[in-house]
Amino acid sequence: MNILQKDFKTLWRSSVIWLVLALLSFVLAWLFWQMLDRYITLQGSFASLANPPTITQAMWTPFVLMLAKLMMLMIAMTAGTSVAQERSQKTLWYLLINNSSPMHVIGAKFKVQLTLLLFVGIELLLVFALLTVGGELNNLKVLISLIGLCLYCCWLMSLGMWISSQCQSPATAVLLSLLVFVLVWMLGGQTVNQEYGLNWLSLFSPAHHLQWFCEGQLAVSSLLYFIGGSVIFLRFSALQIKQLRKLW
Amino acid sequence: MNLKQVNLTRSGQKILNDLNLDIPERGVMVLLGANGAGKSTLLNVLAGISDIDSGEIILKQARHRFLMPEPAVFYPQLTVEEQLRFIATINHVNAANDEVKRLLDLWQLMPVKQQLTQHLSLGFRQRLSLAQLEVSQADVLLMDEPLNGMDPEVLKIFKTQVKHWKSTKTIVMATHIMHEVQELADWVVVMWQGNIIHSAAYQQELDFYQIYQHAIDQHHKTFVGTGSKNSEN
Repeated sequence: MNILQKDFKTLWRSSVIWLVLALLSFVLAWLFWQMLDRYITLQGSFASLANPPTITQAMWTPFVLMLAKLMMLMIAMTAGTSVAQERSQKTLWYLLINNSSPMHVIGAKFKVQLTLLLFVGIELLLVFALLTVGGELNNLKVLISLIGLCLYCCWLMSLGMWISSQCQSPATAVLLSLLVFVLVWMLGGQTVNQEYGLNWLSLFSPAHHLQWFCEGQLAVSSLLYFIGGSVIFLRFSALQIKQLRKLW
Repeated sequence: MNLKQVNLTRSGQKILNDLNLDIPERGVMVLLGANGAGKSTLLNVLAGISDIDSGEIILKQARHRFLMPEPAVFYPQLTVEEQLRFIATINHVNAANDEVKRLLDLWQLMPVKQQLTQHLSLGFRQRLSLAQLEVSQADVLLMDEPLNGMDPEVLKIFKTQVKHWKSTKTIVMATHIMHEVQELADWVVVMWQGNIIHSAAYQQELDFYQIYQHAIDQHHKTFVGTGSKNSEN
């Protein structure tokens, strides 16, 4: 059993994770049903419009953005505890002994976080299957938004792990991660732009870049933002673990 | 393994002060010292967990190290068997499954092998900690207070195993329970407030308590002597 397998078991043996996943699934199902109900009700009035919204615009994109918001809670929990838990239960030395590379440790922990994408995939697959029964989705937009959502989750996971490496208590790490996630999401909010004109700060928000993906734009700047940001946060986490050797 | 002028400071307090130490390739080195002498920190430094501020740690060859900390800590969500497998894997042990089975048997952990480590009693935690030390197949075994709360049955196995290991491995052991480890020791090091005040091969003529007391007395005499001379000047 290597670090990856150990972390995998640690993560998925926690009953809290299953509870939160069940809760999120319920909330997503409920909200999706509400959205569908509203869409069906409004379909009559869509007929009078010259350019009515497609099912991808009216159902798929809002669902992806909603899933992205809810994933903040899940990722704050898993990524937030990833390093802080090792520190609080004093097991980090197992991973640092013999001057082991912190990047190797962080890499393994990040790979375990990626298993959460399976939940994202299942949710989106179900919604895709349901929507294709009633209409025709733009497959290219669906694919690009899926890529965007996965990259967004990776970005949040890396940021969460960095925050986690700074904290000694898992509870603090989870709350702090959630707070930071919400703040960076709000940075890219449309109301911020409306109130203050073009807000350059919004370019630093994952919400802003995810929005582009959801509109079917595969922008290089957004790809760089998510991939580069993830790499930088993972590097910072490894550096922080290296720093911990000086506090031991 | 050699330590040259090793210094380590934490929160403005000097924990290891200009340490010089030669650790032999085989045998048991016992670290004696009061609480706060720097024994555990020295073990962490030797394990490659703590970074030093200055000085040098010279490993003559690539030597693999493993630590038995005090108190023993394990991953609470893993079972006893999984914990041992994890240690075997991160230490690149060949035929890990067979080795884990042998050690579960040797350290009498078979009845609890499927139990989560968070539910283990103190006795079993200690056995698991010792089994971990062995499954790591490390060349350098570092033990922090290994005898704390050890029952006579485990103590017997522990002594037999240490006698077996010491012909091929370096063992560095920090302890307060001096009389139990005397028969195992080859070298004795006395630490006081981050300094090594005595380091020599153990001749079995004096007991540990006498060596410790003598070293402390000598150090105090030197320290007080130097201090009074300085104050006269």
